[in-house]
Amino acid sequence: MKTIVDEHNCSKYLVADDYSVVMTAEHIDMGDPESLDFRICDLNSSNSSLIENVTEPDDWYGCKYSCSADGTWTLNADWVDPRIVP
Amino acid sequence: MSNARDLADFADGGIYKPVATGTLANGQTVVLNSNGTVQAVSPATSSNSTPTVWRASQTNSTTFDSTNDDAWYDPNSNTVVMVYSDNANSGYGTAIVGTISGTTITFGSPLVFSSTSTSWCRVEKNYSYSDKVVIAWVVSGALYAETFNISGTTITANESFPSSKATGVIKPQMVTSRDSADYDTTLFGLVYITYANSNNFLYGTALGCSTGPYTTSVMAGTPMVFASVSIDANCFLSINPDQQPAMQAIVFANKGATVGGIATTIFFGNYANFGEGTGALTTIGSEPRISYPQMAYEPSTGKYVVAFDADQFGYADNAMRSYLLTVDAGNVTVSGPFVWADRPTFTQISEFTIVGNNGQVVIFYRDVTSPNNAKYVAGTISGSTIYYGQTFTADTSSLPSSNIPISVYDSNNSQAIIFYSGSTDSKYTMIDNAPSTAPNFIGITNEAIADGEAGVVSLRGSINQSVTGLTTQTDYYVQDDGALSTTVSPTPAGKALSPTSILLKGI
Repeated sequence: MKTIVDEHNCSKYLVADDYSVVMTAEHIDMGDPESLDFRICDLNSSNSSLIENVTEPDDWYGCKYSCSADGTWTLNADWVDPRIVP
Repeated sequence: MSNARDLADFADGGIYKPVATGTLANGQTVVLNSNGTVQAVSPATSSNSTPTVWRASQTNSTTFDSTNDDAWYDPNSNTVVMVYSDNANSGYGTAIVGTISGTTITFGSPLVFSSTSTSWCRVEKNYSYSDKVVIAWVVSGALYAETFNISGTTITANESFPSSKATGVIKPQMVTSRDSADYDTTLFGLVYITYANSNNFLYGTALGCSTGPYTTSVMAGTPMVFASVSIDANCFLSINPDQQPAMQAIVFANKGATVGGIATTIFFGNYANFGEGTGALTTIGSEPRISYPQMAYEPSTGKYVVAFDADQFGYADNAMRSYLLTVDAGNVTVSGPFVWADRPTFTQISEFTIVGNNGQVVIFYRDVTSPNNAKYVAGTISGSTIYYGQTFTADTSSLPSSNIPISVYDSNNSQAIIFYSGSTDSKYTMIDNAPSTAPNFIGITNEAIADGEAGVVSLRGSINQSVTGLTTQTDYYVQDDGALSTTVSPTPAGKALSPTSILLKGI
């Protein structure tokens, strides 16, 4: 697996190794370049990075974990599950 | 001075002696009328039409609210197009067109455009045509958007079986505009639909679509993630209505845990950047804890107002607050927060709508303390400040909870139209606001003046000695009702020189 992390190493996306991720200075294109799944506009090669060959945590969710460059996962203490309505 | 009458007012040795319209007391704050007479500063007035039921006998109390329903006002035909999940008809997606005449709306026949349980219906203008709208709706997470024809109060579909444009769509909002890159006289329209994507961690996503004169279909592009953060369940995306050619904008909120509560960050973004990847999101404020940010665009000042609900873990005073946003060449300046409603104890008032025009915003809401009456308050935008005035009651019947009203501005009749849920029916009321004349303050009378008679008035730069009860060396402001007070208002009067005199110099 590989993950896109922001400037604070917050893991924003987690995709399979063979999934196409194209990072540019303006944005990140996700999926087949001929037919993108989606484009990420708030992240780019300047404010995020791609960490490859990581092991997926069982309960991974966007923004729940940080991932260091060596693939070590850390639970983000300030994460609130957005799926739970207070 | 612009005419002979004005010069005549100064004929008596340079003393300003205008003729009064109405009887003026000694020490009265006055404004100048267009005919050269002066008149007492008059307070803001507001009235609303008798609440009218336009859909009766619904099956539950959620009859028309902004979660699933929407309205769009067409100034050219003076009509309003309503789209809703019809809870009296199995939640089917339905549209209806009404013609506005004064404070009455006459509706045509409803059109069912989605014969299945439908949610999050949205409607906006199709800028490729003068007589068509775009309606978007969601069925089981799948987003649909198509063009519909409007003729009088008749609405018809262009396509019987439209294809879905996206999946995992939650809480969509839609805005349309004219494509600035049009070709000769051929118009192309843009449609932006923003939503939380349940297939992608509820991240904020925008789907750009186009419309053109050669086909009525709405053609979707690639979804764009404009915020790689989860949109909070209680914090709807809110986007301004079509205000061509003004910048299109979005506001949304995201929560994260903090000690003792949950912090909310409100973001403001520019549509124009969605496809460019510049990520121009501005943090409006990091609040202790808030919900339901709502946004309105006020065209005459070019400003955005973002109002929200504080909750019990937020501000200690529980007051409802708002921010004022000024956007200049892409730079966003935020001022506030400004309180628009006080609450002595915590009671959630998430059900409100905000609409702007003529330098004002009107916020319409359910006041749970009154109990559950429909109330509204007008705010006047002055520079980087909003001044909220008196609260008025629009409907004394008890409103159901968890129903967020919808508002549009009827520019032909200069009135806000509010659509809201009654107990088992849907209602509307028109709100007509006349702001205070205090901002036009010119001076204070030096004597009592009878109606139609001339009398002395102290103008700015002079000293008036007909006032009482002032505190020496203190700044005073003209209030909405014309009274002088130390409470800051958009209209500074001057500095008190003694308890009975004031130097009218502004502040």
